[in-house]
Amino acid sequence: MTPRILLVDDEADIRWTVGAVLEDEGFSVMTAGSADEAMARIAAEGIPHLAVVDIMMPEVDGIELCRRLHEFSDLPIILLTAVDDQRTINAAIREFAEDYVVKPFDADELAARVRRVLARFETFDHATGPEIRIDRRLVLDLAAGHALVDGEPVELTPTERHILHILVRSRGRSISTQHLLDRVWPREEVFEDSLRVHVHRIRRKIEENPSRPRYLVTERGIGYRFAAAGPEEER
Amino acid sequence: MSAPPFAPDAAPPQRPAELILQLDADGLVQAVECPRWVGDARPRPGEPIHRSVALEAGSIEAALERTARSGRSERVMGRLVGGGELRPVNGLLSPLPQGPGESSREGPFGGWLLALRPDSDLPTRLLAAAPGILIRAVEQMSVGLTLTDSSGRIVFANRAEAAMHGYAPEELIGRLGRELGFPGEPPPSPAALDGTPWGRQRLNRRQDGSMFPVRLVSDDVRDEGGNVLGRVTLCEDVTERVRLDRMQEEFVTVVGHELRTPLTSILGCLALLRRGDAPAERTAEALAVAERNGRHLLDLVRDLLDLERAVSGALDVELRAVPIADVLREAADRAEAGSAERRIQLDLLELAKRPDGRPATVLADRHRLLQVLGHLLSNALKFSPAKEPVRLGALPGAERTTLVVADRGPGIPDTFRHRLFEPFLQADASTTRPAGGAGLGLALARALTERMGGTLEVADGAAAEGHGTTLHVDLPNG
Repeated sequence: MTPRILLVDDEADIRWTVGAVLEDEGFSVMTAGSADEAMARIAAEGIPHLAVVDIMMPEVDGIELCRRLHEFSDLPIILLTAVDDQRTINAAIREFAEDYVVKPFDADELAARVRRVLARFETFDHATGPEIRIDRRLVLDLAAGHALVDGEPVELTPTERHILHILVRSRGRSISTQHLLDRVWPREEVFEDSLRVHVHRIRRKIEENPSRPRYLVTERGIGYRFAAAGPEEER
Repeated sequence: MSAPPFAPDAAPPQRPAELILQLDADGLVQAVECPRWVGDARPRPGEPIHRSVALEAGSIEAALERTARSGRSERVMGRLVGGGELRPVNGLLSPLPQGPGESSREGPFGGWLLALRPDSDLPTRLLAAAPGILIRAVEQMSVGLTLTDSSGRIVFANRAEAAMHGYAPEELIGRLGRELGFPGEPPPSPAALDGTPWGRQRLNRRQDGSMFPVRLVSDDVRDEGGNVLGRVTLCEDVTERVRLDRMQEEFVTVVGHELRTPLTSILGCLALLRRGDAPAERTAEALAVAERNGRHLLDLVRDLLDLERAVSGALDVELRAVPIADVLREAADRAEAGSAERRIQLDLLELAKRPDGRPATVLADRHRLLQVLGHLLSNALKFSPAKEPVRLGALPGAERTTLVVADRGPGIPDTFRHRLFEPFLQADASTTRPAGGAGLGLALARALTERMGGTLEVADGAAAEGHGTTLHVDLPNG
């Protein structure tokens, strides 16, 4: 599957140029001129594989956009910055972003960084439309914030969406508890018990029998796994 | 640090505490009585008095001998040493007769009584010794000045010091100097107390609790013998300097952003073109983007240099009588060049009302005036909703004429109004940048207008948020 990249910059010419460079590198690119437009596109088209976000934008800046995105998703982000301010960059990298590129940058360098970050997240073959159809019974819409269980909508909290995004992106693979804690709460010290509570709540929402989960499975001594295929899996 | 001589936050007592020492005939302390005396500086019984009392004039031993010989009491001024303090004191030294009824002159000598009190007259004496002009200078200087005694209490504060902290000068007397500092600020280094001058920036606190940045320089005040009388501290309110530094920092950040952004497009387009296999449509678009950004960069560099020259006074202007109607028409044509629709509404009605029928003129540099109007119009067009016209007109007066640029955009939020003409107006967050471009236009327009002897202001009443913006360029008639 072609990795899909969301490019957010308020300058139309930057969107065109950087978009063209990324398309030349074989990525599929969706663009947004503001934080609000970016959120709207994600709600309409689903969570992309990676976002390239300009830090300095009018109204809502790139760092605030990263914060909003990470409330409900584990979207990897590369920051584009024309702000040569190491403090801002360090803070952003520590809290939100996987990497950053200072403008003006070399097209090959940007492409290389995008590839490197994507490689860190390995699995791309999950569906990235707004609706992720797990099987006949369960459909997740993480961008919009709900699941459809037997056709009935069930609201998901931002944290539940974030946890599900990490697990569903790597369906069939075990994700360690520590990785989940680090990604969902990068700025706070949160313990395993809290994660367990959130997992329990997710199960109550999506599992037929929460005490015998089929989707969100505990991997003893490791962490959790979102089942690759259930008995009702269509694909 | 020794205990302060007064309980914290208490008003200094009207009648100072006293220390009463009884000395024997050899000058050794026999008894110490200290009503209301606070602090560690006090002699101990059995100690020779010269260990703990140093006089300003002569030695205590000489005073003992003099008073013993004369049999008369003598006023003394000096410092009490002990507990890490050198406290200024004054008092009375009285020789004592041996027993009741005996004359001190003839009978055997019975020692002395020394009554001391903290010397709160130190600044008065210092100032009394200074010429009048020096006193006025200290009182009236714009930098704050405090004098503290050896225990760190303020014994004098000038008007500037009191005003910047929100006090009356007398309200500062008796407070610890460090009470003016931000809580949690480290106390002055030991070097500061050792008599080394020191200077640093820190936050001070006003009476209402608000904080402001100050720069302090402090040094010991000593007498001719090198003894420390107290400490003088100069305190400068550096709020404005800190604000300017921050503005400069923002300016550099935004200029960096504005220069790097078009460069990114240009270099990105060159990279696309270099690959050589792009379809013709993409090649044409890449060339157009690169050219547009190159021109934008050029405009930005030109504006930056003009702004610098205008602000520093190095920009030459040729002032001539410029016909207003002509210049307004030309400014409107230029601003609309390249755009299909006409959005600038020229309003020349007022100009036609001149009784002598001659064309109204202003004294200006035509090229620079067009530059000013160009920036104002481009700004107005940028912030007006599509299809909404921008009005350009003139209000001629007897001596001056006001050129008017009015738009129906969102107006200027009150919080930004005072910063409107700063280059690269920014919102609070340093990573939120102004909408739609460099933000140099208004700063440059004002600098150029002022260079021509005019003013550029937001019209009163028209700038409320949501009601559009009207700008007035006021110039002398030509």
